Amino acid sequence: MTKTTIPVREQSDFLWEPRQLFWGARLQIAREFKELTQKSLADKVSASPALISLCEAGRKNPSTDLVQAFGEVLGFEPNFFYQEVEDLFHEEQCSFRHRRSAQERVKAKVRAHATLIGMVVGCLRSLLKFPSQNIPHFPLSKRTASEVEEAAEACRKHWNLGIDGPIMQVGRAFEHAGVIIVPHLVKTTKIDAFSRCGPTAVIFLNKTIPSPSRWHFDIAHEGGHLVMHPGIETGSIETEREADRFASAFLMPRKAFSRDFSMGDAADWKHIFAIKRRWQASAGAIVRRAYDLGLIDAVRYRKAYKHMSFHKWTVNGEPEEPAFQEPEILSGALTSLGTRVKTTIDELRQQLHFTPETFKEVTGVIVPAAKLKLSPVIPFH
Amino acid sequence: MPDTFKPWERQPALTAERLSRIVTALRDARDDALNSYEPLKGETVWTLGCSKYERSMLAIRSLSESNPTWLTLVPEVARLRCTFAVDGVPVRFYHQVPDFDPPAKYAASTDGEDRHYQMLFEVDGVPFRKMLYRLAIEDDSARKVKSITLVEFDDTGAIVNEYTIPFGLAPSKILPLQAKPVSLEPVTLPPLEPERPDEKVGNDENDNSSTGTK
Repeated sequence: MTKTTIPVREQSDFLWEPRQLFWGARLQIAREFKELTQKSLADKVSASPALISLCEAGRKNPSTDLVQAFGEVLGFEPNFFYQEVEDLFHEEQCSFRHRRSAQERVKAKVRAHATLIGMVVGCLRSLLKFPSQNIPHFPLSKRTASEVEEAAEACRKHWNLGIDGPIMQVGRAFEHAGVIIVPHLVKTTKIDAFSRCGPTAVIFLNKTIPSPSRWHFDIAHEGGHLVMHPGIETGSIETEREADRFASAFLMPRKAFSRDFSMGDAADWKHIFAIKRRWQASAGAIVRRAYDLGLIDAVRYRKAYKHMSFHKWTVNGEPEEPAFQEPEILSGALTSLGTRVKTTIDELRQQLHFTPETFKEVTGVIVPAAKLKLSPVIPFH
Repeated sequence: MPDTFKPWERQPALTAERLSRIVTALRDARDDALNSYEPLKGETVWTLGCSKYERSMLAIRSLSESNPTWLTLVPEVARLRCTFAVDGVPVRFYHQVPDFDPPAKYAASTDGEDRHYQMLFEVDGVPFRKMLYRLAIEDDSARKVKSITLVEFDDTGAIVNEYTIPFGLAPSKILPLQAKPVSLEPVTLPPLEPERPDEKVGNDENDNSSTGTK
């Protein structure tokens, strides 16, 4: 009778040492990032939804095998759940530019994704000197259009951008102010952009809609929330309108824009596209700006909008799109790893306790395979 | 009132050439109306006034179509009201000797003017003082246009300055300048720890973080 060997788990699998406290907030972030409900996670790890709920609320310390199961299902190393969340992205700090049909599940995923980006940035800050946060705050008291215009102009002046000319790289203006801009990695057209105002200010862009001029507007729109609505719940029609007006005024200051717009025929699309090339804003935003400033009347505005809808510019993007300046802070920081600083991408990933797949999903950067240590070859004699 | 006021010093948009082209068009339109005035066929001073006003509006409209770069019509709620903007500065006209007080309705700003003044909030950081600009058209005894004067009112409706606009000035060849676009340097992230001298990779010039504009 042959002796069968029972396969056992490698001892190294248990080498992680759970710390004292399990952080339920981390479980919630990981679960929402994977777009799982408490019930679906419970099914996957053979636990009850109530237990998951208790773990997330911090009222139950899960067993080590359950934590390991969480890690396997959600794509994190078990120690991920035993570290404090230093900078949790609270709902009231976050602003979404989205369609009304955007599901809460998708919004939760974006928020969780941003929190994970915040963790990555938190680690990178210990290695690289990031620009300090320099976002001026102009809370609105009267909430009038002219007050928003003044806030946008004051913001441009605060950043030494002047109020006369177009900004060629809108993203860089915000990156210099310490805002991390992340090209959106969620594959949905329901959310245009997202921002978070806090110790780590973040703007997410949705690049599934191929329109750089629209991304410029999205950056400025989210910037408007950061400038005008810190600590204010956004998402209402009023706050979104204010952010839209801020974006228009920030990209196209009223005096300089009206001067340029009046130099040509408002009914001529060639003139509007010439303005688009100069101001790097979409034709839709230009027409709206002209209407808001009283440079064209309501009839002309409606005709222009009908024209744009007919050509499906609002859905498929417009012609003559400007070049887009890709966000540079995060990608620049990650490419510095292993080159300008000793820490490699893989070491950063290990610090964060992300799996390589999750790290790629969060940052968009592939973790290079670790170099294999070759054992010395024994020569034949 | 001494005629030492230069409107372009207060409002760069109100150049002598532009104002001259406007008043020349107004004068020609109004004198044409007078030439076709036939009292023997039942026309009265009232119909002449209406004809002059309608022709003046048409002249401004035609001039704005051929010069859209600096002359635009300002949308107004009142259909018969004629307000136009010279490079953003709203202007209206009325028929009266400029030294007299203007008709009350011309001494107050219209809704279209108010909208335009929102755009002229400040110039280079200096708050803009809201002034009203009117063209006072004065006729001679034969009802031909004698002179047209730019009258500046303050916000109480009092006349502050006057400038008699010459007819038939040649247009200038000077073009308005556009502000230069703002170009920003990329953000650089210097390492907190000293670089490894043996494994320097990348561009050393970018070590200092910069926030300046080009």
